[in-house]
Amino acid sequence: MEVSKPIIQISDLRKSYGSKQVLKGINIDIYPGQVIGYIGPNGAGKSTTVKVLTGLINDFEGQVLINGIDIQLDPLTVKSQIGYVPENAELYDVLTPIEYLDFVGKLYGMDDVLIEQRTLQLLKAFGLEAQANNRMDTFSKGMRQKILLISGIIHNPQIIILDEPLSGLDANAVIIVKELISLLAREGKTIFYCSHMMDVVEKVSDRIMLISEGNIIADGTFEQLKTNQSDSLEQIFSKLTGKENGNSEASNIISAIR
Amino acid sequence: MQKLTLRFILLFSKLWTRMGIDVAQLRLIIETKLTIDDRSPLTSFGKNQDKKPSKYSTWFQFFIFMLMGAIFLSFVYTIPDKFLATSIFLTLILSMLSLSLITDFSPVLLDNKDQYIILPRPVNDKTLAFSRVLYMLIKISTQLLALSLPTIIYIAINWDIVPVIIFLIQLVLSSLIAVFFVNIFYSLCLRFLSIQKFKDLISYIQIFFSIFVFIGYQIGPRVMANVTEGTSSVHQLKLLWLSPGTWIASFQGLWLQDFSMMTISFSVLSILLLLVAISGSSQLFSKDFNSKIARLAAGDTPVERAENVNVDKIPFYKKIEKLVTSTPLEKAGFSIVWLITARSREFKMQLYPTLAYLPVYFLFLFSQGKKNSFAAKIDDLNTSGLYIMMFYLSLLTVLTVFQLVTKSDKYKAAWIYYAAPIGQTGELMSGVLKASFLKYFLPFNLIFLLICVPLFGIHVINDILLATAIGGVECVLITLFLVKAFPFSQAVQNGKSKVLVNLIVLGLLGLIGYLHIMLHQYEMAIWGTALLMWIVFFFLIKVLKKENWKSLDFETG
Repeated sequence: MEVSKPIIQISDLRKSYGSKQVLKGINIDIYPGQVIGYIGPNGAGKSTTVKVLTGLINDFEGQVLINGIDIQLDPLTVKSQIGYVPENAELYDVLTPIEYLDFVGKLYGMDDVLIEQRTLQLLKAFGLEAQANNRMDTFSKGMRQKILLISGIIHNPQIIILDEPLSGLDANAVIIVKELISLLAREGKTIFYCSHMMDVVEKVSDRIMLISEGNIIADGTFEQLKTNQSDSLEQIFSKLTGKENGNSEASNIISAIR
Repeated sequence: MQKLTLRFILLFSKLWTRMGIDVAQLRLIIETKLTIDDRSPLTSFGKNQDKKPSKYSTWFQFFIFMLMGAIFLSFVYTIPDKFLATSIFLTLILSMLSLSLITDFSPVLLDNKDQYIILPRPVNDKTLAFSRVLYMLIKISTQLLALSLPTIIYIAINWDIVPVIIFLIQLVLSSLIAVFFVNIFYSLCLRFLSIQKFKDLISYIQIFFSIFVFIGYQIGPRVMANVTEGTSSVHQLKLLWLSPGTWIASFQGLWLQDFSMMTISFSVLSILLLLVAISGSSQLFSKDFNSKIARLAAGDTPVERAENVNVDKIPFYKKIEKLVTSTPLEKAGFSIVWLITARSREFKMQLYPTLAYLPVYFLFLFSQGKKNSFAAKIDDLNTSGLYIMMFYLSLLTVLTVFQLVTKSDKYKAAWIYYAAPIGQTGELMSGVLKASFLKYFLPFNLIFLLICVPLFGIHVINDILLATAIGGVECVLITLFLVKAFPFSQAVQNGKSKVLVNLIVLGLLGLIGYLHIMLHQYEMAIWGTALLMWIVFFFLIKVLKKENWKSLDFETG
């Protein structure tokens, strides 16, 4: 790992909804070019972290520096350096891909010529050029997901935050996206990858962070996590999050319908 | 009421079982659908869409239909000839029932949730198909009762017993025939139209329906006056001969000893129609229908359209965008509003009826007044300056557009506004404003200009200029103070009632319009004010661009 200034610095991040504390003091340093696999059970604070990082939530305690910029003080500069693909995101599907990407590009302040050029290239690269002028309401989930991915990288962001980016994609598209992630990382982009699909996280990430009940409980490469634990990420996950008794839960279900 | 109808239908359980229908499942499916209906928001009148889902929506609808029924009663009340009265009444009933079957029930009938919830379960095709037909019948029976209750009560008191019984039978026949008509409509549409076109068609019918109701209220009484004053029998009103309502009504004629060729052939026709209806209905909604509805749900088969040849051609809106907007953010606001308003079905459905009122009001304006000759009326309007009111009426549209433009059923797609680095919300909103103004306000004033200059003379130009500028100022003020949300970013149901604010805005506009009318003879004053207002308008746009509000509406989760 190259020694440089961290591009994302999270220190003592706390966030509460009412009396419920969702994030309980998170400290992370992420370096350019890293692919972070961010995993954790439902309700652990994953999506809250993502919302803080993308500037959607601004009322938290602690400090988040992106490229040295405090996200609470200057969220706009931070947002323009981030590409975000939310989980199960909707898009204005009465538009065509060209129109939607034009709209998104302009929200990021890009000019017409650049948007058009990148849109056409990216649509072609994702195999959607034939559908470029068709309305997206006829699109399959996978096609929509590809458009969302394009809308997340069209402004050439430094940091790309992906929340379950593979949902709805077929096997070929999954290969493309996995390949894309490693190419983006080689370009020096930082990828923050949230997912429940352990096998994919295991393969694409060069650093895995596990959040549980608002705390980071594991942080390291897959190999590092593995040496003192068992062999698959799935098993590490269930051990660390206290769900090792998955077998007995399953057998309880079986006995209920027997 | 509906449960009562269901219970009535279930009386024939043995017959249904013999037809191969699982009655327990049938009952379960229909009861569940009725419960879902009770909890869904009202859809039959666009304006009610803001209301929260209500348990009592069925009853409210019942009440509204009964009010309509009272209007239908007025025909029966004023027309002495029972045959003619029933003809008109049944024609109205038939068209109401068919229209609402098509518009209100199509989302339920074509509900593709059935595909996921019912079809994978062990329910046979016949049961499912029959549950659809019965469901329609139940729904329509409630409406039928509501629409005809006032008339039934009236004739039960005033008519003899036999015509009353005939009338009741005729009502049942009408509802059967309405279901049949709608079945034909669905099968034809599904056969010849693509799914997208079919959905569009249904929404256009819905728009037509609300305009129809509106115009009906405006001109209904006059038409009725003509009917009752002039001709007074079906024999003379040849247009009515085409209506199946008249055919069914012919039984009343037979009872009145009218054994003319026409009456007899109408009776035969209506019986034939019924026979075709029954045999047709049992075959429709068959497997074929299910598989077609399944295609409605299929999002995974994109239509491969021929590639657009002129991709390089710059679309029309882009040209305007280039002319009137400067920054990318402003362009984004402009294009999203311009494009989505043209394509969103829900937007069109709510806006178009209010647009349609404009020409109707326009005609209304000219039909007012006691003078008979057209020239005299024009003269009247010209001296009184009342024609100016027309320009201000179009400002109503602006108010509606700005209320609709923040709403969408795809409101969740608005996450992008929060993720994107939007520094000046005002800049985006000024694009929104320009698109709405150019698309939904200016064209009207151009049309008025084209109509009014030949009619009233060249001096209306300054009036239109002034009204347009005031409209522009209104747009900016609404955007500055009332529209605090991104375009298409809010759920339709969450709309809070803005009736009071709207009334205030409308009152103000009325007042300004009134002042304008007072002033309209002082041409120079109008020119001066027009110029001033245009300056204010452009200045306000500058102010709007600097505006930056923080939207707190982002819904987490």
